[in-house]
Amino acid sequence: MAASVSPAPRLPSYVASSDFIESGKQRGGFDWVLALLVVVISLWGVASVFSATRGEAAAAGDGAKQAGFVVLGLMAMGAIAMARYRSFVHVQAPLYIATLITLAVVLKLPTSIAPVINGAKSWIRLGPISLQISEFAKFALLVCLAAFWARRQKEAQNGRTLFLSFLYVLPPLLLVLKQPDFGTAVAILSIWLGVAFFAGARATHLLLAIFIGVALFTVVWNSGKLAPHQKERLAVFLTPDTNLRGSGYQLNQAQIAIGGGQITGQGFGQGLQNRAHYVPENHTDFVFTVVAEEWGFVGGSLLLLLYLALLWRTARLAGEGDSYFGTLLCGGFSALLAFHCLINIGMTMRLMPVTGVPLPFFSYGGSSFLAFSLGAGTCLSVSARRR
Amino acid sequence: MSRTQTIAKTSQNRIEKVFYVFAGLFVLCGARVAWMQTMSRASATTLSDAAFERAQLLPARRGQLLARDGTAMAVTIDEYTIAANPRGWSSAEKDKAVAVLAQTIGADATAMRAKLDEINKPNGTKNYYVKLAEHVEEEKAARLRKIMGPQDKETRKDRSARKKFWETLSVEASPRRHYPLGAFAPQLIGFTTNSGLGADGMEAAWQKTLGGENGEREALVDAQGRAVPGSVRVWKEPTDGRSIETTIDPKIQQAADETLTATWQKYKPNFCVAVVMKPDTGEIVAVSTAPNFDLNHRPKNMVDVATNRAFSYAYEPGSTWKIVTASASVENIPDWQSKSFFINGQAPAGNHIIHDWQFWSGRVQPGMKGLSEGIRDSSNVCMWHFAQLMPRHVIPDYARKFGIGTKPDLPGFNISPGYLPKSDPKTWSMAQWANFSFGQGMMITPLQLAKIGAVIANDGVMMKPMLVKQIRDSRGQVIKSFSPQVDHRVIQVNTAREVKKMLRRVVAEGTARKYIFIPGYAAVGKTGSAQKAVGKAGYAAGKFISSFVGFLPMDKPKYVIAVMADEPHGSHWGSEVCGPAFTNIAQEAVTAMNLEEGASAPAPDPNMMERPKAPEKH
Repeated sequence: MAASVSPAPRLPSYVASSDFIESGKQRGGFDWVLALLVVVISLWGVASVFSATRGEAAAAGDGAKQAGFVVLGLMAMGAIAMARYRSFVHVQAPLYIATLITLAVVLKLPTSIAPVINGAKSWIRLGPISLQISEFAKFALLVCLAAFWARRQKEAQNGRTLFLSFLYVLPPLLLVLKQPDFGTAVAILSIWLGVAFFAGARATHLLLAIFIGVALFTVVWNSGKLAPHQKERLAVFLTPDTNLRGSGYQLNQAQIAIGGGQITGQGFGQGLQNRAHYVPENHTDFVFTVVAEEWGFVGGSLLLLLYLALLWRTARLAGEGDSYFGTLLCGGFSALLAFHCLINIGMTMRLMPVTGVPLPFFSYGGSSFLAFSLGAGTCLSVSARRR
Repeated sequence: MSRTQTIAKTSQNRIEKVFYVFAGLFVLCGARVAWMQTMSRASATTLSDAAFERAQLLPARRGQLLARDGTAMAVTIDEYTIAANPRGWSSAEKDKAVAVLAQTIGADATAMRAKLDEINKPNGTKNYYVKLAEHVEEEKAARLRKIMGPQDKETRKDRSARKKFWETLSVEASPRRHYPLGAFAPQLIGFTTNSGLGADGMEAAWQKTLGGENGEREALVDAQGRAVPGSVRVWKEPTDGRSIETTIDPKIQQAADETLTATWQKYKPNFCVAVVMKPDTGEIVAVSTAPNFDLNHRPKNMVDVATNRAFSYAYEPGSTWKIVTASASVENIPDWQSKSFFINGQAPAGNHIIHDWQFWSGRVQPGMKGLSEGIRDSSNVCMWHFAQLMPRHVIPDYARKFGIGTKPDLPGFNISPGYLPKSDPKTWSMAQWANFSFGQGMMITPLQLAKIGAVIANDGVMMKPMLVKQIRDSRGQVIKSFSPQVDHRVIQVNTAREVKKMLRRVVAEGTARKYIFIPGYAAVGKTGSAQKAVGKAGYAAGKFISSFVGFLPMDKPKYVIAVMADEPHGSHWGSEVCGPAFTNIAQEAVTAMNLEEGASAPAPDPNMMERPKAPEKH
């Protein structure tokens, strides 16, 4: 059975498809459902950004921009879907180095080109558009880590591999923390943890790593190295009512917006909290409040179901691809998606601390959208080559 | 199964399991959404309503308090408080903000920087609010707002960066009540609370007029507090407060304040009080209390100094009360002019002996005295003899006619009605009856003392007390004027004139002769030196209340001046303690009279240019 599918010529064996056990439920071919889900979520996102920015001078034109990004992103997704994803393994080293360089360069650039936005220096301004480097870094590191583990499939259960993989992810992690962008750092750590777990690292090793991480975090928290706004965000999450006009204000207004949606919502473009711009960042990180307020429980749970379906498709693809590399890519992307959705939606509902994590395919922001499109394209590429 | 196959199988298992975990978390999120939107709906809706329907206060501007010549006594100055969230800026941003603030509003950079570092309150909780500068003038605040506001040729990113940066700072209007005349009638003017409500004096009594009516706006407001177009539900513009032009004469008030401060320093009484009125109109032109203070720098413990005792402090008047007894005698004893008694300083009243204290100090001599001489020498014994010629109820009836026991008609002020015994005079002891004839057993306020004087000056007619001349709107247009109103006739014209003649003798040849002299004008008045009643036990040795009430010019009285000092040291005589104060205030009043009335002012009497000679000893 392992020999029934021959590896592509000149590709190393760890990206060969021979290591898979038939799951029995697989269906071949391009995953149109996945592509359709991405399109539906993206269009709903554009509509929500339009609603959230209506009448707000500071964000005028953001809806149209997001529409542009969606067109651009979907095209990128299609292009990647047609590419041979297995060849991505060759770009691991250049991709990794390019990521490091851009993350380092953005820190060094003058603020006229690399402005500080929301307290973090992770943007590069290119004419009319600004790119958030850290959003691309997340996707790049996913590819790099998947390749890293795919090369070491046989040593996956080795503690040394886990440690090496951590050393591998450490430089970009430190650069992101330097920006400082706590949300992306947590995202990178979870990609690392997720891919390692999916790659087969021992659970005991992973638990040990988590334990060390928590201990380290405690030390850092008390060392005074964290920026005040980062500490405050976590602190506000724990005691939200203490500061109604500060960080707690955003959360509080978000609660009012979501609660005000009730069962069927106040109608598109009619949300009171939304119209009055009471929820800061409600077209970016807090866009879920717009959905919940204007579409109510019906819309909110429908969006959750769409994301769940997306997760389900990508997770399923992990078991259907024609290589271990593909498995790790799809699994990792699925986890990255879930991580973003849960953190983002959770934070608007006080289930999670407020970290600057966008809602995939939905929040306003070209970088995030393009990065996730590339990820989805990769999964589609895997789907096109499943057995 | 090969090792790679095992691992691949593990991978798929793990991805599947993690998917289920994530799916579980998604269900949790869904449940949370459902709970928030249904179960917690009530609270969410309330919060939501509160956020929108909370009316925005559109504060009204407080009116001014003006003196009768338009001099401002209390004004509201537009000032601003600059506040910031010390947790909103990084250290570098704080430096930048402080530099901008120091340049625009001229505040101390080091102090502001230190304030911005107070990210925790002293008790350890988080601090989100520090005041960087207070009492910032309008002009400086405007300069700062210009820097915070839209700039020329700024890009959208610049604009949002600027907004984001200045979000941490707030420029709050904090209008301040200012009293340009400083230590000027502070107890009468009163003051406002920090939130701008009148707390005492005129500021409190006329709160409704001065304060105006705050407006409100109920609308959907965005996060910056701007109304969302088309969402306004209630919009009521504020009605600015009105300015009140009072009857206070700033020059006379000033003279009274200064004179009383001097009296207070010389005789060290607990306090002293003066009230100046116009007898023909009832206008109150000065109300002064010493010690006083600057309203712009109020002392911490104000209870003692801030009380307007002219209105609220009732005391036993003593000899000034003899004006009432004299009035009653003139109207109720037909042959009063021919009645006279031998006075040697003592007389029995039931089991008690009453005294004329002046005999003890040799100020007056024994002899036959009629009512007029009794008043001139302030003889208790003489008053008691005349009281016995009338039914017992007569003097108490006159007390009521003079307004004792009734609150003067000045609504809103903390004002005392004085005190009259409620018991039937028929039940009184002889001593009580006797005491009542020379000013013991009732209580009056300094304002009531001035009103008693005003009745005599105004030919027997009591005017309603007046403190407000005009009310003006915020643009200065007069919207209401007040004219003098007669309260009631207390005594007949002739009675008043007879009593006036007696009171003239007090100043010209009697107890007040040495202390009161206003060149060119005949002043009229009555001294009072009352032993101070302490508790129920009786009278305190060595504790007196000295007073004087008088008016001038005698023929056409223009000003009544009542002066009172509580427990003076060094002298207790009303003449010696309060007479000079009366003289000082009266001289200022004469100047005011000449200024105000011009040609119609009573001309100085050439016969009155010399200090009267001492009368022959009786």
